[in-house]
Amino acid sequence: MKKISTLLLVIAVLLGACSQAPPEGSSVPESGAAASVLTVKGGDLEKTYSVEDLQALEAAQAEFKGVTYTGVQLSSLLRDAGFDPAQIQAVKAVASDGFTANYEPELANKADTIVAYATVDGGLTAEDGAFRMVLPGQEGRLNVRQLVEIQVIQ
Amino acid sequence: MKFNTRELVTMAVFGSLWGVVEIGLGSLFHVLDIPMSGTLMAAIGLSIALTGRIFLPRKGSTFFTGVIASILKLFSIGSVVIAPMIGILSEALIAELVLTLFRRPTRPAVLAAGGMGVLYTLLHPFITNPILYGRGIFVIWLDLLDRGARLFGLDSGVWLPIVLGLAGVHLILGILAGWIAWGVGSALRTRFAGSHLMMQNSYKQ
Repeated sequence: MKKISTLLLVIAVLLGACSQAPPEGSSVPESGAAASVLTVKGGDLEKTYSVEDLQALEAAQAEFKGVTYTGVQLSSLLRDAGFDPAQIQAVKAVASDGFTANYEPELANKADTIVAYATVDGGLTAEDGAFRMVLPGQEGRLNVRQLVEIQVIQ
Repeated sequence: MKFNTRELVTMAVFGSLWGVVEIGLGSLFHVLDIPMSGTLMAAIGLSIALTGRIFLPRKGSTFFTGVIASILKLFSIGSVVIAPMIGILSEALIAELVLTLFRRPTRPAVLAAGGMGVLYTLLHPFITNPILYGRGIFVIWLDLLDRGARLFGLDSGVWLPIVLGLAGVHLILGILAGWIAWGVGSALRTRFAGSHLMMQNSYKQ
């Protein structure tokens, strides 16, 4: 009985240690506090965008799970922020709760990989946030919602 | 290595148990987005397989238990099964190799087999993701660092503490799996000592 209690205690401590902790020093807002500013950064470059800023760029559309989204091509956004898409090693999309997804250059530069700010039927849902990634045909976890930051790894 | 019918049935029982847990609990963990669900499933699965090895101490029995579990994984509904199937097979194979190195399923052997089997899950994406999903090694590495950073509340730039921390957690969980297997397996052996379910020639390798 004592052995079992000790074992359960060890498992509980380990599981507790495995609980998701927010990244230390992270400036990302708490989940639910919809961020309406998107930061694109990497190295010395950093630029922030509002929905209006993205609307001023060339629009693109992409479909995911039966919803057609409107936004800008990720590669266009990176170029606008001062990055050369041909020189990137990877792109990281960061959600407001600290969740991340990493993309290979080939995926980031695909024509239908977009940063969405609306759907063809109207605005994004509260669950999507102000911005979301849309990568048609890719697994759900790569289609980051509540997008607040795009990090470029060169 | 040749098994008689009773041994095959024993392996099928433990393999089925591992498979059923993978299908049920694995899917539940996936839906609930439990952190390190793959690692937890590996630890639970290996604790079942290693219990089976103590109950049936025959060379190859752990791997065959994994083969049965991975075949059952095919029946998972609504989820990708190829990568988990490869994972189950690899974990069972690594545990089998470690047990073979130790020659007899002693307590240190079972703990080491659990530890190494679960530690493998850290490397699993580096093997399956490029083949199955065409993902690059660098991006998988970034994913690993991000996962560790979130788990330990660290910045993903400090790769060494993250990798060491993840390896440590995996090893501890694996050793725990081995510890549970040793306790349960030994209890089963005692419970069924002399029964027709137990092999007459124990530790036949």
